[in-house]
Amino acid sequence: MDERLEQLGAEVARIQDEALPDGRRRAAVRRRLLQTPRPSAHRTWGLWRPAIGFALASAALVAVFLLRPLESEVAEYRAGDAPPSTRVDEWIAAPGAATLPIVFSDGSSVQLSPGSRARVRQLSDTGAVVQLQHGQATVHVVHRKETRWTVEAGPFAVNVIGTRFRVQWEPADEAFGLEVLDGAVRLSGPGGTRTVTRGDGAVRASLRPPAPVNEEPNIEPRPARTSEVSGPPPATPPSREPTFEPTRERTRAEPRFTTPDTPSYRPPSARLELKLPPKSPDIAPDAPPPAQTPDVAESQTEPAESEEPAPAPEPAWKALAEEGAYEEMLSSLSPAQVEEAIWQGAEDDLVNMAAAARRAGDARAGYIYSVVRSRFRGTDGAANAAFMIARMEFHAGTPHAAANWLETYLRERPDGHFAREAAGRLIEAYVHADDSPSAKAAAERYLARYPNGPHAALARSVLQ
Amino acid sequence: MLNRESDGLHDEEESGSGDAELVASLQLGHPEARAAFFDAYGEFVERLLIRVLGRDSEIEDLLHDVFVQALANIGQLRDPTRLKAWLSRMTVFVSRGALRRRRRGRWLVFMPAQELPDQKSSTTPHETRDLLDRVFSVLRGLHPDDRIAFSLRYVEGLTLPEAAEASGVSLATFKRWLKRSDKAFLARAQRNDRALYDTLLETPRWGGSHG
Repeated sequence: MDERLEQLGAEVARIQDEALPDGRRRAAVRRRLLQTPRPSAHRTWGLWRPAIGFALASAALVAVFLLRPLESEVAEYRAGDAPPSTRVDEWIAAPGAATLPIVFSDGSSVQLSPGSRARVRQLSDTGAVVQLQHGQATVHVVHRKETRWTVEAGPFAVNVIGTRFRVQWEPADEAFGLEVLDGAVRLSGPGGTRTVTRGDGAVRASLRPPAPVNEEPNIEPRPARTSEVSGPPPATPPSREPTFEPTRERTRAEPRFTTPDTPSYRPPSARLELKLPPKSPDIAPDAPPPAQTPDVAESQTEPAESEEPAPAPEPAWKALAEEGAYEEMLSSLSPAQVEEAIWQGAEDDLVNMAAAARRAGDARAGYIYSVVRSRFRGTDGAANAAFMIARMEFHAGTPHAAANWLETYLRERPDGHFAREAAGRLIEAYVHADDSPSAKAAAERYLARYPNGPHAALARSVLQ
Repeated sequence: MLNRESDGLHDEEESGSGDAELVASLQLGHPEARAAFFDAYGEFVERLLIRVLGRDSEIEDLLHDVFVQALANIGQLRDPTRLKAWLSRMTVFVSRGALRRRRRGRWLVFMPAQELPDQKSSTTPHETRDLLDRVFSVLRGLHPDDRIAFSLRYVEGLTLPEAAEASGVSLATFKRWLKRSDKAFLARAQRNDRALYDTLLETPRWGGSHG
């Protein structure tokens, strides 16, 4: 079959080449390139055809001319009192006791809080990519016809059209925060993508579990959740990651991000209402207490463990896990049963479930890997989950997030099973993220450690 | 095996010294170097863009973008004999960006202008235009990385190491992409263009006399 595809390709190339000698397009580009002292990546606009006469056309042209300053491109920026700059990948740090404004030529701005550090990774005619290394930044993006602004913070990316928001990233704690002050943004992260609007309040995501919870019988009830929407009552352990936790009332929930009490995957049958039944037949008696509605949480003083559990048969997922039928677990169990397995299953079961989901193209794969990291932090399985999430991010077209997860894996398991592969893929990820300095650094590290490794040729080509 | 000739990405013997001179001039900001650079590689970049994207309404802009980026980053090129390979990678990078933008925007109800069927030369016979339309119609459904792998390997005819280098990935990764692209291309052809699929399965009629 390869040969036939090659023959097909050759025929396609032959037909395409017939038109290549026509150099009109090249001539036009050549003119553009040479006429522009400092070439920019402007798009060619279609020819405007005046339909209603010369007078209107002239008026339109005047209007376009007058409006041009408003559509100025994001060609440069100023950090504090520094002169205007077009340099990318240069770290900018706010002093320890003062904020530092970065003002872009289109009027957009990024205000770094004291001690924060960021860099402009890309500048284009439609926007910029700013990476927040650590700390907090308040961002104001001027809305224009075509705006492509992204603020990256660890494995998260905030895509902006025109808005004002505050973003925070603390890599040491793997803690992310976002508060939209005006408008709406698209937030992408390990849990997926969701829209965050002003009404959603502050969103927090922690890639690390909180300190272990005291499991004494007199443990206090879980704090009341004010508005979270949930599907079937989940069997929730005290910590989960990554989590997106609203700090105040949210009006809606997005299915792909988790909150401490609701997993990111919400089954199709989930009921979009607050009140949850006190018990669910799907939940095993030995499951941790279900999420509490506000009323229940406020009134309940006895721990859930004090309730006498009703005897029940062994959960269906356990039998399937024992048989190693992980694909079947995902396809035949109810969403609540899958949730139960995810939160009660052994590490190996979860890893195998995630692998089965990944093979099947099941969107829950990333979620299950993130649960592995939350529940079994410090284990090989948790580190390997970071590597697998990185692979999925890479294939999903988010190489920068992939790079972050690969860095996480290499930090946690520098000599791990996937260390060489992760080190090589890290170069690929940075190359695809157009992050040349990081790609070079990754390539140098790779060659120092694996001079004859499978990515050595790529590493050398990156360094050249 | 690919048996037709490809320009490849490494022409050290032929153009190595010329490229070194050209790169040096570009890095020094010599006024005529930019034109010489475009004259030397404009057609090559245009062809590579067409290989990946088909004859696309955005080619002119993308061709411009590639050279703008190349000129902006020429200072980072340390080995001038690799100019062509470096430019190929930049071209593939720009193509991938265009494909991803379209992929992100494909939920739009109306087909974006650049996704309209290929603009063909009026001199191109109907049957060959039909083949281009059909092949690119199948390719449009592929993941950008897979589409790039297919185009570089089968249409441009690069060797696997050259194609991997142009794609900015390891050889192993490129092979994975290619395998995936084969599978996806055939699956989509089987689903959407049964005649193309059957022809691929039955008779290797393409390319015979054109090599």
